Amino acid sequence: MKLSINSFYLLLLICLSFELPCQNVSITNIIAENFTTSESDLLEIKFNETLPNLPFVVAWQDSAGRQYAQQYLTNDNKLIIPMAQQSGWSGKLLMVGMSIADEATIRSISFSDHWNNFISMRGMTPGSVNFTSPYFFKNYSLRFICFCLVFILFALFFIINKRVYLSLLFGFLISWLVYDSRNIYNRWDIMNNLAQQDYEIYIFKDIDIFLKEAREIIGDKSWSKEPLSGVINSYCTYKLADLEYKSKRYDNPNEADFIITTKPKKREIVYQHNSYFLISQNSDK
Amino acid sequence: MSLIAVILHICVDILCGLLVLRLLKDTEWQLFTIVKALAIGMMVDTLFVGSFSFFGLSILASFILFSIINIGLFGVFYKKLNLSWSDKLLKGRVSIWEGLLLVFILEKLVWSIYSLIKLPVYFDDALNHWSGRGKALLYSVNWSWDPASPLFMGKAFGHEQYPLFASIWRATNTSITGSPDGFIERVDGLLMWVIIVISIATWINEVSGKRWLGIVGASILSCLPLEAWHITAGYVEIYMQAYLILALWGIFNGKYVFAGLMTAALIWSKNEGLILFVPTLTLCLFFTLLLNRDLDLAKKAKLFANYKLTWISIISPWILFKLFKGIGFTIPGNSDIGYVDGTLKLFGYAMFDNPSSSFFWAFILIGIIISSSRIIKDKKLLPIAAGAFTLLAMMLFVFTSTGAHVFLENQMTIHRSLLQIAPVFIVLVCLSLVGEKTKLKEVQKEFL
Repeated sequence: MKLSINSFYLLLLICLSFELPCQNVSITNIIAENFTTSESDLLEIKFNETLPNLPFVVAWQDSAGRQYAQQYLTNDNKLIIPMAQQSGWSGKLLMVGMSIADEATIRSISFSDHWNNFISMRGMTPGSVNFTSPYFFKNYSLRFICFCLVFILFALFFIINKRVYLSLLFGFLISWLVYDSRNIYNRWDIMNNLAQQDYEIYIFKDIDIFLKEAREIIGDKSWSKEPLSGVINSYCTYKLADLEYKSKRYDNPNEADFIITTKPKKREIVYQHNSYFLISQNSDK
Repeated sequence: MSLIAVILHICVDILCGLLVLRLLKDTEWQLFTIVKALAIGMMVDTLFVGSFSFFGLSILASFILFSIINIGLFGVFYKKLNLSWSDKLLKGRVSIWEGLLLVFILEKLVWSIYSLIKLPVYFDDALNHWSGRGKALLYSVNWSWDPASPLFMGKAFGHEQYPLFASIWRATNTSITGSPDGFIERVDGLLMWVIIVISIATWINEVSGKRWLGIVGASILSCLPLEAWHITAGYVEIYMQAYLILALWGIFNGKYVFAGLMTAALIWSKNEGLILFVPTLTLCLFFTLLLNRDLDLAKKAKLFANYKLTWISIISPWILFKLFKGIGFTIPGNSDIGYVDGTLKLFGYAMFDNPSSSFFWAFILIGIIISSSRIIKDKKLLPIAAGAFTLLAMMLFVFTSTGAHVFLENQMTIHRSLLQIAPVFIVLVCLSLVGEKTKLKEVQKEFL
């Protein structure tokens, strides 16, 4: 792309103003310039072939004509850049540039993107019982939107009936139900999603298959396990709680007849399913 | 088969609870009576089964013995129970607005049943401490009552310091069915949620005389973002919610023996019951009796003793067992007491700036501030407010000045701990914001 005079001065400004920990940004390739995104506050940039963690620069202009620039790093996927958090952002992008030759697709995030982000599923994780995920519409959290709604409804009700306490309760109640509606949608979304996988919890899929067969092999003998990944440790002990267990914490796992592990080393494998191995220790005794 | 096992288990527990309520001369037959009976029955059941299991009887045999005793006693005392149906919650037609709120409550019920049937036990603490140890106890091969054994109290599966209420109830369920599954392993959470919802609605209805306000309270609780997860998670925080609200109801309604039973259940559910809620409930009782000018000092002392002796006598075998076997009352960790820098700010964020409780606590705070003059003047509301704030102060102390501050920093337990005290704040705010004269028709006319 041909450099305009404007962009040339801007590049100079960027090159002088940035000092990276290991290198200066040397911009030789302007990917886009004078890109007006109007009201949108998010930019989606998708590079074609660029490797991750390479610096690129985004520059923009405020309504008074002052220019700003910020450096980012590329990644494997598309980048969503929240521009509203940047000082001087008024919707006018001056240029996006980087040091190597590549092309990128740049587009401003539309209302439907915000909506899709808002209604996208927040999946069930081992942490879902401790805290819940936030919902955002553009840069506003749903709880902020609903909290504002409390006061709007409160004011509305108060104008009608002049009763402070009752108006506050009803303002809160309706906003609370609105907030819950989003949680309801998410919970059923999770269930629908799981229904498509025949209610199989993804992280338990392999260990479930493994334990079903391992249980038959262990029979009335004892078992132990080496560290597995996260909640799978607990799931494994829970599933085999009816078989004699030699825990590492209170027993000597070497006394167990079988060991469940993901690292078999050079031991005798009696059963394997994907990354899970059942090791026999009988030969060691 | 699972469903039959669960229904059978629940029925036996309700029978047991009704017998205890008969002893307490509580014979007004209503939805709340069944809920109270279930809460009492589950506790007595697990204490009974746990004790007999300790003496060598199997879980199933202990439960059969418990059932025979209960059915026998119920047969003998059936006529003397003299139950008269007078339910204010179920009286009258459900208005469209009450119906709308009930939809939000029933959605939790439907979702919970659906996910209990379809999903396995998934969350860590349920897999370890509650269902995991329950399974170890049931199948005996990984369980011992001897502190010298590496299998003592199923410690290979979860903390041996934790009480056994949920574990024994789940083990009993499994023993009736013959094999464990996700539904019977966690259905107790659903029962506890039903207890909480009906208790909140009844308490608010009793004080205000407004069913719609009771339903408002129940729906606020049900819509808490973490609540639905806890119905099915298999954690015991929901036990604490249920027994705490019932214990407070007992204290503020002069049912001190009942409150004592519920306090025992709190201790039997989780260690917080003894460490956190016993001092708080004692303070609440003290404050309630102090405000009561109709009673003389001797009578007040008697009522205070009734409460204390009830929970002490019920739960003392468990406490003595712990003392003699050298089991701690808390899990090992940093036990230093003293304010930890920055935790107050974190506590504030956890309450007011977190999606886990969303803007619930902000509303509670605003509601209490603007109705504070009403709370101070009202003899019914002041003790509830004192109780609620004592609970909050205790939480604040634990998370800012003890080793538990790490669970505030990593957000592991802070939100579920706050969930435990949410019901009492809901009762307080609903009652303080709505005057006694407000009727639903009047509200509908004004707002809707």
